[in-house]
Amino acid sequence: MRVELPFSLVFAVSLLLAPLGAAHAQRGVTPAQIRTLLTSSDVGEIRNGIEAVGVVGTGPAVEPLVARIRAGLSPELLDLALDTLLVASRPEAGPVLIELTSHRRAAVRLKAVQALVASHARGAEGCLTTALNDGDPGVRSAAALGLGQLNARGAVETLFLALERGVLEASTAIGQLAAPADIPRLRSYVGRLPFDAMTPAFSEILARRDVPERAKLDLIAQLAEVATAEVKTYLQEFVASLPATDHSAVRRAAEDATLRIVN
Amino acid sequence: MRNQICHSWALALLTFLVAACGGASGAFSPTFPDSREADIEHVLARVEAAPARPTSSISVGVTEGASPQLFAYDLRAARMLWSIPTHTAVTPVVAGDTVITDENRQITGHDLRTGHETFTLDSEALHLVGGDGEGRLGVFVLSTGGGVIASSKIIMIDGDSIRWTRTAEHACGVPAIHAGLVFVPWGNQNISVLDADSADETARIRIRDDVVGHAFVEGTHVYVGQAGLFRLTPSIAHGTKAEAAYLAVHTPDLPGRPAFLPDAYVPPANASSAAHSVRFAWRPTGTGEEVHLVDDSLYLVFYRTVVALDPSAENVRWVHQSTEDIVGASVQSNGLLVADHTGVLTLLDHADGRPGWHGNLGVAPSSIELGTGDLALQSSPVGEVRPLRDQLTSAAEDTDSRLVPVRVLAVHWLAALEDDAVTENLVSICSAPRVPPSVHNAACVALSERTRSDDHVIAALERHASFLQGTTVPPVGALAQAATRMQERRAIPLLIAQLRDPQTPVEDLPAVVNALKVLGDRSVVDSLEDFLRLYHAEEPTDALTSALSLSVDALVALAGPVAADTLREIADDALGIGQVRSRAAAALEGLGAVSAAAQQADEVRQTGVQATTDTAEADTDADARPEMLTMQHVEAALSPVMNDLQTCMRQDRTHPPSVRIVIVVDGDGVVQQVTTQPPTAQACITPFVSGATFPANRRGSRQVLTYTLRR
Repeated sequence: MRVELPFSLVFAVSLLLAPLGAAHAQRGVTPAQIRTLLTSSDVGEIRNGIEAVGVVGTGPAVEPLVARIRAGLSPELLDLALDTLLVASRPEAGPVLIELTSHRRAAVRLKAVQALVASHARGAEGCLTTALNDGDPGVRSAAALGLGQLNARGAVETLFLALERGVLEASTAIGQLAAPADIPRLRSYVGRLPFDAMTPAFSEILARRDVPERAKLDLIAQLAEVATAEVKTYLQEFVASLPATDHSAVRRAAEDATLRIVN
Repeated sequence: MRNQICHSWALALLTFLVAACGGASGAFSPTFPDSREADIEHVLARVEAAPARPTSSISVGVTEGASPQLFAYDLRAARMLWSIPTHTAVTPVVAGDTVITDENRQITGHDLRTGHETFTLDSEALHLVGGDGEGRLGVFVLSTGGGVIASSKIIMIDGDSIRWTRTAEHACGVPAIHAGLVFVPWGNQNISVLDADSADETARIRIRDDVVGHAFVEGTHVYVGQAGLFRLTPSIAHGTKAEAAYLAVHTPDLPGRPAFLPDAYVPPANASSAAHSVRFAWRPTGTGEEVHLVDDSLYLVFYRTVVALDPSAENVRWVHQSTEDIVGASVQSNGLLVADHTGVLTLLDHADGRPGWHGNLGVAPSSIELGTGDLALQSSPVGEVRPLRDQLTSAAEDTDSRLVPVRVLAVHWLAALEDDAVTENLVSICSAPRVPPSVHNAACVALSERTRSDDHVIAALERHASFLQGTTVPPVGALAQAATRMQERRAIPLLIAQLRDPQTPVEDLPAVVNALKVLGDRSVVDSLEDFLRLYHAEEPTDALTSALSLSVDALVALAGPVAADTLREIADDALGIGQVRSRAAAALEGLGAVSAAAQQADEVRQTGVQATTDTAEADTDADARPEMLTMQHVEAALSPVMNDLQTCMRQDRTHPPSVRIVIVVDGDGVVQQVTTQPPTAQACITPFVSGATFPANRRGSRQVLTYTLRR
């Protein structure tokens, strides 16, 4: 599955690293040189070392950065290091990223969760499931979205619990991961949770190719029973989003439902 | 019959009487001899001969609101006797058959049974201090209160007429009447005993080491006191607490400073004052020279909370939480009768505080005097008797913000209970959200001071904040301190987990690290090193810096020289928090000094061993074992595996320039433990070192040996 990184973050990091990266690349910076930079006591050299990791982006280049993170970094450099690991998306960074999901600063935990998702590291699913318990809402949201991106089907039950506790991003993940048998349960949250919070889940389910058409038709039928104005609007927008060439039963069902809802 | 003395002729007559009587008797004269045994014996003889004061079930109170009412209610008959409009400034005084009010500078008498006005007189800007009565006879005091220029009037009433009035150029307290005698406390230390008929002073008692502001009658006895309680017996002539029949009472310090007895020398609280809801209730008893409280109980009334204490105020019997503010209380032989501000009357059982007898006034009083004496109300307490610790916990967790002071006291009383389960209650209060800081602090301090090991501390430390499970972080700091005091080593892994949990408040981390230092062993070193490395360059806060500095100390204490590399990393890291780096540098210096001393001692020992060995070898087949192992022995033992060790170092993913190996060898030369720095080399190196052959030492001592493997 393709990892979706925040565009602004990727853009910013790329811009930041591009000139330095070119310079390092020209010099053909090696992991040993990176290690030397990262073990320096000079902030500038450490920064260069972190940026070099981003440019090189290989597993051997990541390892010295992992060691440096474990040895301790100032908040600013740690943030930069995590941004770099996010871009590098190397599974070698997995263990330290897992450790950092327990860092005292929520900003670090958030970046660690995002980088963990990007790295597809072993153990990420369990770690993200645990992060749904985090005290910081941003970390919980990122963990929920990450579980969807990691296709962590084993986390569906916990995601439902998170959704009940107000982690609305769990809706998207459930939509991505839910089995057809889970769809009625998802629909039962309509009315209990803001409908806007539920629509990402419905959109994901309706867009999934692995969900049988019958399940999608049932979902539309169940939504039509709710028959509120916002359901009607949602279904209208869903129909509008479909290509003109789509003449599927799902489209017809959605169109019929919008006509039946009188609000 | 109504006797209206406010007419001018009557006032003139009253003035005449005051002048005539006041001047002639010598009452309150500075020359009157005090504490004469003969006088006191005479007084006591009359007191003993008099019948016990009868009880009265008529209660007198005042209601609040736009049209306040003065009312009398018969508790036994469960009937409102009368209710009349009033503007009394202070709580009415019941003086025998007369109720006295102070309204707009006018002192008014009302018949206790009918409410009819019996007399009025100008207060002359004096305030109504208090009064007492037996049947038709009553006495009350008007006074300026304390101060240099004080004056008072003692007024004796007989039914609906004024029998006499005496003036005193002193502040007088609350008087009592019994056996035809009037007892008037004055000037903080004196009690003048006046004849109820003639107003002549017949005796004077002087208390030399306590304040007396109140006199009152209970049964057949006369009591005086204020902070403590004297019974009038022959020993009162000594004038001291130690020699008289005296009860010392200790009251907890509370806002508004409610006293055992209110200060009689300051103006009394007004009728709607909170003082009626923050007070003590008790009744004296005992015989001879023994003075006690009924049931040995001092009841603290604090708005909605009633606490039954012993006279030392240190031990709690029970706690009762009413739904409404209590505005009146009277000690009965079988419990405490209380009236709340909605008019509900309840008898709380003396043994456990459970409610029994109930009544309803039908009006909402702001204050009420609940009869006199023991009313012998038939009561059957209902409900379950909760454990005292639960009663105190409920009181401590009450959300009424006015109750905070008594909630703090409840925590102290709770902590003082000899019950291990109290720990659980303290954890509950200490970790409860939205608890006022003073209550929270009291609970957390009490929790941290627990010393007896119990499972509640362990169970609480197992808890972590969980958003999904809805659990909150426990009071980790206090629990860590408690575990330390308890020497509770089961807490070690739990403390490590709390150290790693980002939701453990940073303020709690110093206590956690300190607990690990005290309780821990080598098993906690890695966790402490991880913590120190990860956060030593973070944005410093006082708590974090403290926790990191304590981690340095803990590493030195638990790992000794093995910690040197980590400490050097911290000390040398320019990004690190200055205070933590300094601490690490100082620790390194300390370790260096210790190592140097140890090395020197080793050399000395080795020289001695060598000399001894030489001598022994020259003489006999000496014991080949060294006295103690030296570095030479270590090198010799590791020599066969040195290539393997070098390979381990070269292949280590952290590429260390050297590896420090710490080897624990027992007296027989058996390797017990191997650790390395960096730890990444340990898995490779340990099997080789453990397989090496070390000689036994003659002392049979366990040794910790450090060997540095270099490239």
